[in-house]
Amino acid sequence: MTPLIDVVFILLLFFMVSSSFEVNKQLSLNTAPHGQGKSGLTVSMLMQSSTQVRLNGVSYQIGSKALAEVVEELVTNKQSLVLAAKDYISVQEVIKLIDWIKAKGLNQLNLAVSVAS
Amino acid sequence: MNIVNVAHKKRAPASIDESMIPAINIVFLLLIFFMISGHIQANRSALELPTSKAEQDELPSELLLEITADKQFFLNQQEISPDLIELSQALNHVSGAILSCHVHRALPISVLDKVLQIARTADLKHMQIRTIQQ
Repeated sequence: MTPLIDVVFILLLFFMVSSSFEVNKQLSLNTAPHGQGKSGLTVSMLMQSSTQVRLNGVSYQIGSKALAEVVEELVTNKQSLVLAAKDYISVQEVIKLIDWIKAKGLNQLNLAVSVAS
Repeated sequence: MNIVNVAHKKRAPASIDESMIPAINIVFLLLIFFMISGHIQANRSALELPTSKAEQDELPSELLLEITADKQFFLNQQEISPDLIELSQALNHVSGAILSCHVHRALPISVLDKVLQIARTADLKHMQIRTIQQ
């Protein structure tokens, strides 16, 4: 009996150490088309820093009420958004912004190549 | 009639094996729990995925691109060159493929530039980025 229990303990240790309980999900993104797509239906947003974006020539704080109103207007007008970020901004920060935009109901989101700083 | 008085009969001391049975049962239960509910980590140790509120389950993809913290690129577990020629070739061979990207969270977004350019050239409309649910 003792050798069997030893094996079971080793198996238990293996599964405890190697198991992961992280829930992996995915963020689905469209790749931005060549050019800017159909003008009028697509709006470009530039992420200038982890806290600020530029949209239609105006800078907004991420998470601000003003930006939320602009994004909600895009949803109402069924417009899509092309998001570009400065090249030094981290993947995590960009995904945080995408999360925020999607939470406002805008799912027509394209990711464009980064902009050199 | 042969009456046996069991009340005063002393019980034989349990052997060590017998006394261990409840503990072994618990160990078995733990083993089954970890085997069923956990999944073996296949992620590279240098790859910390970004966190997100996304709730979509990851779709099974033919092409899995991993970009580690030291900017090494792996396509389906095979290391590839940073110019991603192998990815371009793979996308041209597999039509309608789903590209899944596992990118280290602290990397600058510019690491995805080449991937996006290749995806556009190959007319890939969608790609998915694996995240950890917040």
